[in-house]
Amino acid sequence: MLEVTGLYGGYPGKIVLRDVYLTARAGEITALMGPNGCGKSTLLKTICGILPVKAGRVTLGNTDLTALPRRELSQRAAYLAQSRETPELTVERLVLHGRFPYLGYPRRYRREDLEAARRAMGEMGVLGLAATPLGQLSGGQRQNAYIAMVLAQDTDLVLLDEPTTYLDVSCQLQFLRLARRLADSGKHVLLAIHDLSHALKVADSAALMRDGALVLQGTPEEVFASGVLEDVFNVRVMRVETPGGWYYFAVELEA
Amino acid sequence: MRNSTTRSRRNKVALYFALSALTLLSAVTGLLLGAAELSLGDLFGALRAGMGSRTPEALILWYARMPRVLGSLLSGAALAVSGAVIQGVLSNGLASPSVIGVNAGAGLAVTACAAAGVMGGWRLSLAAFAGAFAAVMAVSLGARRFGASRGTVILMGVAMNSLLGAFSDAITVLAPEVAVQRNGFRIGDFSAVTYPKLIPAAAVILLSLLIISTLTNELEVLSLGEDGARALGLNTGAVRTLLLMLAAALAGAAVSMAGLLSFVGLMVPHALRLLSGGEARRLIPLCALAGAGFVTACDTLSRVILAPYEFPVGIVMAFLGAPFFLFILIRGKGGHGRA
Repeated sequence: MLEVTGLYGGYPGKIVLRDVYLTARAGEITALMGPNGCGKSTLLKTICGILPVKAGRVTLGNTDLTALPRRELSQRAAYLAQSRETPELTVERLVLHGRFPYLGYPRRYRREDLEAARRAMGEMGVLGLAATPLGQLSGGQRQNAYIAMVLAQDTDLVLLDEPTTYLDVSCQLQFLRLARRLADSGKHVLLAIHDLSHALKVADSAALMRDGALVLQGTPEEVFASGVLEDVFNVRVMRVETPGGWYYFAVELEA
Repeated sequence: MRNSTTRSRRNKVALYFALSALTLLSAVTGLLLGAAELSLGDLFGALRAGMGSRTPEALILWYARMPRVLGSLLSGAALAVSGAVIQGVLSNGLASPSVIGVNAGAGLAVTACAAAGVMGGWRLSLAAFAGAFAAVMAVSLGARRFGASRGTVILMGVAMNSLLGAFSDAITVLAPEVAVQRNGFRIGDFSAVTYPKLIPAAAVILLSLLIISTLTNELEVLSLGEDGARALGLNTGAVRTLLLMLAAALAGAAVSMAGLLSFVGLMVPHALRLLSGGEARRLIPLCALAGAGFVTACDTLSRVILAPYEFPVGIVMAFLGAPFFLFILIRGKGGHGRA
């Protein structure tokens, strides 16, 4: 289980996270929701060591993540950023760099790294594009290549920052199925996500942030029922029953 | 798919062979041609006779041609790789040692050394490295501290370039005896390469190239951006500094031998990126080969065109390189663009 306890963090000269408590269980999708600028990305980046911890604890099982060297931390936690470069690499090379945290001396990827990369590309359906430069892919394909990189990294904890933002609806749904598969394989999946419908539909646990603090964490049902969601976003959240379960959507508050 | 993969792999191998052959050819013709021509027979005879021999052929080969060809091979490789590394670290295709003032930093140090009477040896190499490193770190730290955009980084580099150039010019005004060599130095010139200059520079260049060849994975991971690279466990600050230090060592060593060759560090990495893609593990060795071959070929031409007079190599490089570069740019339009 991932446990974030009393976490303070942010950028040099600026505290963003104030006393954050959060848990994420293995085998579950934990959705992180909150308005723009509430600190979702900062929280993910602080958990995986991109930003420094100013105070508090982050533990995964019995391991104190904040005490690990960067390389070892990257063997436990993978992070997929919201906005990404399009580096001049082929798909295969990008996915292979998912094995970078395991790279030893001599500085060459081993056979098992290549195999892990091939498996990940197969999983994401980009094996046929292995030799294609990223710049020649569609947005959805590039996203899949990046996720294959995260899979190749083979970590217990997977942090995904707004992974559905630039995807069309069918790619979004495909992505959410993948997040479920990742969780089913025993990983901790922590997902920062704007789309309330998707978040409440797919998550096992939903966490709500406002102004750098975590205001509520519970099952989607609980979060919906609490009314805090409506308060935080200043909207009205409604749900309808569909054959596939509850479907949540947000509408404007009546004047 | 299989087919296109093997085809692209075969193309890349072909590019390696073609560049290796061209570089070898330019080195051999560089040894043969010049004010006094040597035949292949003379060449082998002089090579076998060794450095101690006093025959005219051996003297020409060992004391005029050899240091010059080695100097041009090494500085070409050094500047091209330095350019590729700087472009990678700053993730900016417009950067190069000459554009952002790295060469100018080394040039200032070399000019200052000349004014102080130091014309070769380790002190000169060290000074050139220090000048280049100071310039590259100033630009890189300035860019990070002020969160400069890619365009601003280039502008800061250009400003750095003029400032350092102005210092160099000031020295030549105050110490006129330095000005005599200054012209060749400004556009690049291999006629003054001697062993005391060559040996320390060669050692620095070979060592730096060796270290960089072990850092190509790091260079590629850096191209994922700051967050992406850190998420994969890369200590981005340390690796950036190390790579810039190596790039400065390369540029500094090249400048200490040859002066301010401007075009190689920008053009060669770009041309190869368009031909073979931007993956550092391929780009770096290809840059070393192509830079070495291109500069050596240009230097040979510069000795032959108006023989027995020399035409400055920097001018030859621009005449040959610029149209070729434009051709590749236009043909590769929309390929691996990177602003």
